[in-house]
Amino acid sequence: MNKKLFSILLIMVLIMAMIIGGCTKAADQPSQPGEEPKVEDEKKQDEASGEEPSEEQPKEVTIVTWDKPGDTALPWQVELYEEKMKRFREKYPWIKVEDISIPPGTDYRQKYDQGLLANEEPTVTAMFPYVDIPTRAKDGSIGDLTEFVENWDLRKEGKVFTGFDDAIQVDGKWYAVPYMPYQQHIVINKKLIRDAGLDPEDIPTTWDEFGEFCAQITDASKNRFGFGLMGMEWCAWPFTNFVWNAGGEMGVQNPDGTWRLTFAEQPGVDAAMFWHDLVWEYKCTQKNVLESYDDLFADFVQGRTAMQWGGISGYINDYVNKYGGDINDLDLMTTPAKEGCESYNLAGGETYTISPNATPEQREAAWLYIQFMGYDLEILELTSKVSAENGSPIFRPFGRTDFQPLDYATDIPEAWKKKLTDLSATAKPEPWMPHWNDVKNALVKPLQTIILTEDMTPEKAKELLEQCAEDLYAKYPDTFKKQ
Amino acid sequence: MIRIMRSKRKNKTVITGRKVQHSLELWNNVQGWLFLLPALIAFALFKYYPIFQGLFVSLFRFSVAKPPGEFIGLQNYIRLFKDAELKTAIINTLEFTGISFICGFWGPILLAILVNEVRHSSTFFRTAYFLPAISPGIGMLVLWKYIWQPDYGLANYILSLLGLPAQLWLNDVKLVKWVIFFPGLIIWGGFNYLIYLAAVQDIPQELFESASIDGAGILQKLWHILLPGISPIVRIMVILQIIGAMQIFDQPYIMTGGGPAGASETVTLYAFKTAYTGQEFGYAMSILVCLFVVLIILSYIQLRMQKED
Repeated sequence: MNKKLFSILLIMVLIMAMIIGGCTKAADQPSQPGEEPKVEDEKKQDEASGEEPSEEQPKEVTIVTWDKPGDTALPWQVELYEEKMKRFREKYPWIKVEDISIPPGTDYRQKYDQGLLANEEPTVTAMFPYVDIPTRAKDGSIGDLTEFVENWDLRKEGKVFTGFDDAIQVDGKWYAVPYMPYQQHIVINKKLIRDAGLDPEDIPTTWDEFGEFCAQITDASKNRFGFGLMGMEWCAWPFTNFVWNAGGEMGVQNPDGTWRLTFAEQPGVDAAMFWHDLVWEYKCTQKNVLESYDDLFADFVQGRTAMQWGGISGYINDYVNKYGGDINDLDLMTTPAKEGCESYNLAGGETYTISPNATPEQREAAWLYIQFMGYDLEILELTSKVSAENGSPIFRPFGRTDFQPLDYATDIPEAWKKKLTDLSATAKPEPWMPHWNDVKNALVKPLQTIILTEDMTPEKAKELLEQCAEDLYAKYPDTFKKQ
Repeated sequence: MIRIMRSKRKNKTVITGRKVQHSLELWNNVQGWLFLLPALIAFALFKYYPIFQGLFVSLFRFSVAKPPGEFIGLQNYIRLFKDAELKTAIINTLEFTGISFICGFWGPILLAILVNEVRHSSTFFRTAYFLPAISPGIGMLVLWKYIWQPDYGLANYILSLLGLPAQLWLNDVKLVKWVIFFPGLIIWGGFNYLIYLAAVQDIPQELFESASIDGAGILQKLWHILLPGISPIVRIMVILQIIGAMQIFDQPYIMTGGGPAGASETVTLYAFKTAYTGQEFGYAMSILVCLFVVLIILSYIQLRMQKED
């Protein structure tokens, strides 16, 4: 009897839970992309405004952003953000911005997807690299911006960065606009090189010589290493640059639009073996080659590694302001290449995207937010000026091509400006094929095996990379084809 | 006549008594269920609902933008059999289970036996061994990650003091599983130790005294009294240990992210990555549903053993 009663009660509770869950979901579900906004959505916005919508002034609308600086942000960064928000509110008083900060170190892709499932995603965000756009456009996790981009005067005037265009346009529709492009290179701590008795102005740019040079810098007893190798789960990102610098490609597009994976060809094997040699032959890397990006970064700014693959603007603030280093000890150079091959430097960058669940009013407001934060000359000037004044000059260009933040970077070594300009000629955009992130994730295991196995041979390395490519062909047959 | 009346009255009293007793029982039952209801609702909402939801999602090619996405039936389950990475993760998980059995099982038993023998400052030792178990586990793991750091970590520093060669620890494919498990031995071993200590102390002292009078040595007492005395607890703990080890996630997630080269990637971590890095929530759920079934079987065995004891 008791068992029966228990079972009945349990079933009732489960049914209740499901009904509650179902009802809540249905009630909270906003309009789907392509659908008309629900009346309730509009009502909510009216209620939030507390006033009747008038014909002259647009109806009050709320957008959500994740742009608010977190607890670890420096005071000047918080002040700068608040100033920009103040100006935005003054210009667009009917747009209410609910700004949230996400903790540093958060996996933003994971956070966004969780938000999307819970209807708590940001209405507008500048988080996603352009390489994510083709995949996200296809899975519907970002909204269509075509109506705005095609009627965008700034773009018609040729003042918008076009380097991402092939990636952010999917099936003739626009899904993103550029936020800040970047370029990677080798960052240098000249002080460590001088400490090793070497000339920091004469760093070799070919692999073998570079390896030997790094070996001479390395002194494990002093915790000083020539090259900080990024062997952790992001390793395929720098690996791509090294494959190019051995004369190869990660993938080549087939005539039918699918992609042939080419990282297992000889240049890919050479690049992987060069990394292996840095670890085992030249013994010039940190021992923990799998350390996190934050730890790798700390190794450089705290003066343990002399050189790293990165972007110099990201290192200045910590090296100078946090650890009291001299900016003149920092420098940059092109990513070394295999003998006889051309040197490229990987370019990438984030984009502005909007939520697929945004209502038409929210989409309009989000577009105004993008225009203001990413393309308003006054705001770009303010950002560049304040950042430079606080020892964190911006080297990365904005999405607007008629504005150069580098012009405001007055306290940097003069030679950098020329070097940065020269390096921009060697920029090569990160591949943006669909499932590119899956390719990078799949490469982690073979690359780590190659760099961690002392007796690794080129044949064995080729085998591992080929197996990885085969797995990807099998897993994503619609995207990757051998042909 | 009087007898009949008395008998009727008696019958009425008995019936009234039964009714009162029945309503009391009913009220007690209702009260019991009312007390249980908050817990039942919480379980239903936060445990059973996600389980059913997971089972449901595992039948779809899940889409975060338009959930639940395309219905694909059992395709995710069929794919499990062809997934080489999952196979590696299963082998890793089994290896972790074996290491957990070797280190995390016998260590706390031995510790409990030894601490039980301590006569002076026994409270101090009991507290000292249990304290790490109640400290924040994530913080401890992050700390241990830096202890194992091969460039400037404490572990290599100690080896250098002893004149031993430095190790790669978490970067070494052969060492990584042992190294990852070590903090767990200290952090969660404290709980196991406490349970074993309670079991050891539950054995009547007279048995040991009688054995001593009969001339039994330490090993004989250990083998014939102590171990049989704690065997019911040991059997349950074995199963719990296996269930825990098969769900290992925190240690590899925080300390290695599943590396090097996938050497510490467990089934739960692989499912997590499949969901959040690979965006394949449906497939990730099918992996977890299968793990859930295995754990149900193990739990059933544990319950049967408890019943027998």
